[in-house]
Amino acid sequence: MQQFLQGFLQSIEPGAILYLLIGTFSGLLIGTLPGLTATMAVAILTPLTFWLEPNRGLAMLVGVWNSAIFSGGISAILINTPGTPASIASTFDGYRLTRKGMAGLALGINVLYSFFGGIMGVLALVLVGFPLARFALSFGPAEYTALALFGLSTMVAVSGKSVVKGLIAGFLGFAISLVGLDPIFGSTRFTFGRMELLNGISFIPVMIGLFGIGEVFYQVFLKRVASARIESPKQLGRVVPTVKEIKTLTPVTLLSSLIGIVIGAIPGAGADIAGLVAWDQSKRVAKNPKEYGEGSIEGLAASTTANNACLGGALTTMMALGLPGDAVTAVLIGAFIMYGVQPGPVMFRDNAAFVYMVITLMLLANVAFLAVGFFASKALTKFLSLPQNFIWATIISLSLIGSYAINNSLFDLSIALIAGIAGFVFRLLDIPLGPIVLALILGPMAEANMRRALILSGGKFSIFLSKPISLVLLVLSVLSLISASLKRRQINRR
Amino acid sequence: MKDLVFSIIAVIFSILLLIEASKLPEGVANLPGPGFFPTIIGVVILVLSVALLVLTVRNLSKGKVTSKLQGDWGTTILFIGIATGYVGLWGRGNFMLNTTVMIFLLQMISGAKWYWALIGSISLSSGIYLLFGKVFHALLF
Repeated sequence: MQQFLQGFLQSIEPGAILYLLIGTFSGLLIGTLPGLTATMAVAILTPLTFWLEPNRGLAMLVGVWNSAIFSGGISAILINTPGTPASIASTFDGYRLTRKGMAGLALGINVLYSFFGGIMGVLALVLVGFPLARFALSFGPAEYTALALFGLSTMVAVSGKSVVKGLIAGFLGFAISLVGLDPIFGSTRFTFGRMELLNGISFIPVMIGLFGIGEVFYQVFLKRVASARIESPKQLGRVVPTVKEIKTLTPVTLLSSLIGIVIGAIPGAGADIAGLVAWDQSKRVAKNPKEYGEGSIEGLAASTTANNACLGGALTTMMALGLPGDAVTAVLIGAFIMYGVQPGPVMFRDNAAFVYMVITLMLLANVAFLAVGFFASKALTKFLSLPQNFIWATIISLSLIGSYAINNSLFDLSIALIAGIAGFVFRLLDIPLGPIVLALILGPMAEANMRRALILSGGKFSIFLSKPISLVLLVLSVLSLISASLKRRQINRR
Repeated sequence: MKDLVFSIIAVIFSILLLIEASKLPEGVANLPGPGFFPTIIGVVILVLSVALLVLTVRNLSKGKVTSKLQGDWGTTILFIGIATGYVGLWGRGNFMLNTTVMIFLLQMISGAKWYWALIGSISLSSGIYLLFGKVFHALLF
């Protein structure tokens, strides 16, 4: 109870609320602008939160994350272009509703059901997070090694077009994580005599480079130069759904919440996949499935609910197991570490106040975008005409200077630039970034635990198969890779 | 084409990783040394990238169409060059001036009118200087 109160009070202190609101407004703006993703937003803003108290910094990041995922739906509805990939499925019915003169209702559903999905996600975090963390506390080195491989394999299975490329990407991430001090003996590896590399390659500049700078280079390459002239509807019509409509939407949105939470909890499967799967699955239980894709409020509600519910699921695995559910939670792990908190089961045991603080901040972030979203949705479209070249210059300069400013390190600045160029090359070659980032996080855990397990077993690899949890996780890893390969082969044949 | 490039890069990377890993003590089975995990990683990348290379070459020889790297190379290389130049000049000259010039150039090469680029670069670099230099007290030059 004391831990809960401590966490709760930290999240509602005026400073935290102020930064939560700043984050919410920033997220609303960034999420609305097509091409800027929630991952990019969180990565770029992470260095800015370095100077803040952890509760305020985290309030800002959580605010950005939640509102960016929600507001991606605004441009999806009004101009048929998803603001973030999470809102791809919202274009299917959202824009059709706008064309039918029901833009207001579409925006209202987007706000209301993003909020609903978000709250359901937080509920899942509360209900599942603690038991999952308690269960994970019984893990030994063999189980942790298997968990790292399971996380990597599921991420490879759901991201990218090729399992082999995903696996190579993952192992490249492991290779990068090798730089620095050996986790068992403390001897130096791959540092090439550079003192800056003793602590390994700084994670945050890498994330900023991959998701901020690299993304800009890639968009420049795709010639997305001209800023679109946006014509949003002059008359929105009614915004709030009727009681009858809410009743119709309830079964679909409950199902979508569940889908979003489960998909969010799977490492690598983010809000974009959640929205698409929920849209497709809800069509099967909807009252009017034929309307899907033609301006169905059920279709829109399904996708908007799922993509925000996904955040709670992603946060559950990230906080309870230390496995990032998606790219944003991977960046958030970096932020947690920056604040001196290591996500994982031990955090739930030893730092429960921090867990409660995150949970409360997630709830408040949903309330914040609900309050602002109803009024700001249409106004936000004005920002769509901001010149793209200015946005790119802003992202590059903030990314570079932010990377430097965390440690006043020229080396970190160079790492961010190199990671940016690498991120561009990876995007160009269709190499998924998710497995690289995940492996970068899991690498030290996988190596240290694998070697510890071998020491404990006297050098016998059979230890990984003799422990039931480890065996189950390894079997699931293999199955996920095989099923993903078979599925892709089927798609290629078609 | 994309897979060919990637697999060749990955093969080269894995060989370099294995060479470097061979310089580290491997340890013994019940006490793996610092070179143990890097060797495993190197071998796995090598095997996977060779497999990808073989698959890609086989597909190419069958005449299967592969995706090409088409896009605005000129502007992208200029973007990368300007960002690299900015990082290379870090600590030399004046922070405000360097940042303003970088932002101005980035906007100009992506099609902005010179006066908008100038206004944008001066206002953005001033904002950044105030935020990082004055509010966060980062050691800018």
